[in-house]
Amino acid sequence: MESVDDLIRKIQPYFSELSVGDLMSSPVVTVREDQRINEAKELLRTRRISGLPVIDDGGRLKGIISIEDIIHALENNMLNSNVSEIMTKNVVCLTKDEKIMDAFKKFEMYGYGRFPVVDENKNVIGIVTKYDLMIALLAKLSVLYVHDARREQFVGVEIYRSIPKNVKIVREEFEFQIDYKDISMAGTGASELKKFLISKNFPPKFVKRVAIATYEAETNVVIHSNSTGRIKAYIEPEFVEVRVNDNGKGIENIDLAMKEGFSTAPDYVREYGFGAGMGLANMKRCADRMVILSSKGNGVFVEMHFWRHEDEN
Amino acid sequence: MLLSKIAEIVNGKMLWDFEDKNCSVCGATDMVSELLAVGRDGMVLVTGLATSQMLKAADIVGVGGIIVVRGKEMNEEFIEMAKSYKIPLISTKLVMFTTCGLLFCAGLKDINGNSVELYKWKV
Amino acid sequence: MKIEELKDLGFEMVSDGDGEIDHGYACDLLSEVMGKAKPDTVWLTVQSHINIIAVAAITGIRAIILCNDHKFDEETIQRAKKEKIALFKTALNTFEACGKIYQKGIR
Repeated sequence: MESVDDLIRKIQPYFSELSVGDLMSSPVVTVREDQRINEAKELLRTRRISGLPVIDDGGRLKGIISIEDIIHALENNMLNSNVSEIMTKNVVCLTKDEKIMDAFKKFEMYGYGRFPVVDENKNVIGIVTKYDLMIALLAKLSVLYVHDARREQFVGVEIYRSIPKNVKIVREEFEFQIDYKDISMAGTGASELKKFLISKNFPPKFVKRVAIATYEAETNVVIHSNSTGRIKAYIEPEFVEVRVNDNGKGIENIDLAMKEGFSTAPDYVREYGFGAGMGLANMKRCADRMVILSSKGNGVFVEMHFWRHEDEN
Repeated sequence: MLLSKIAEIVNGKMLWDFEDKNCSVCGATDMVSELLAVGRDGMVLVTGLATSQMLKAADIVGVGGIIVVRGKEMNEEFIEMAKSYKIPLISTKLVMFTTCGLLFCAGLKDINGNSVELYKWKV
Repeated sequence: MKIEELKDLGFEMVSDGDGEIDHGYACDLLSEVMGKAKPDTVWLTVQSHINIIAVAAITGIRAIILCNDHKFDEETIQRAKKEKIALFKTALNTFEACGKIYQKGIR
């Protein structure tokens, strides 16, 4: 399974023209160097953020303070000390004209979760987190949709932190070529995947979820792509990843396509019981996490993650 | 309610010699995605869409039986496929509205557990 | 049955229409409806596509009930108003909605 880092790495070369100014969050929540650590802690908590640039009276960057620093201060009983006492002083910054590639390199090189953006006078004008980076890349790639059932709890925080990182998939377990020329074949791949998962002793309730979502993704390829497609599934005892991709014309309007009831299906397809505009809603309902990447002319890539829920054993 | 009883109510024909069983929940649709959205384990599906795609979706959600309405012709291949999925098939000449009406009034519940009992006092 | 009476049955009126209801029909396949539905019918479906209005206008369907909490889009509502076809929506699924109307004696 890929982490956010992998995802970003994979897609970032396509967007070399994007600059830091395009994707930074602004204005930024900051803390003054003479404020108490306790106040910084409250800011982090109430704003649900994980780090704060520290500034002087003139708004110039003096340092940065993170949740880790606060935890240290807590342990050492320093909550009433000034922020300046525990902040990191030599802060690596970005400027708004730096290219996204450079920003990405800094993330990799330093391993920090966030970088302040400063102007020529060292005034803080924005901040970039990995989350901002990802959102900007995804938006640019015309990511249709990112859905994460666990995300709600983490709104505004680095959302993918919640995904277990230790899941390592070494080999592909299931593959199916989608025949787009024959609408009567729609759903065959999902049926095959269902049989496959049952044979691997996954519980029926869980398999149903995976199969429904896959059925919809597969049907979309048959109806909309007018191109070949492929279903791949990777399995772990507690986890299944399904990827469905095609080489068709892609999806143009993200927001419209996500709207329930919206469908671009031609009329003859409706007579096969498809095209009610429910497909994506079904996928969203069934998958724990779903990413749809698409841009005009480049096909659609759907990645869905399924974790076994407690009531599915 | 036994499938044989259900077939009797809708004046239907059982299309292969499936084992009779009890089903208490019913849903009706011609849309595959709708079935995928609302389909429940053991649900009787009333549909006018006798296609292989619908059968695959029915298998995925685990329906307990399918009533094909409007006297839709089904080929041997379709019936064989239902057999292989072990999905009972009943065909009726009635339309979906009448089939649903009769079964609802005979006491089959919808997927949320609502039954005709809910409305009886209003008659 | 008057169109108004569908409101009393708990269906939410989205736009009003003309005429009386004698029959019920449930189907999500437009060509089937086109071929089979009788005039003065209330049609139950999960299809909200604008084409349903044309189908209703041609067959003489007087009211459409959109089941299972699906939503009409604005275009469909506008067209329905023009054609004076009543639109209703409901959270009930097609099965239960049919049952409810059937029970009122509509066939």
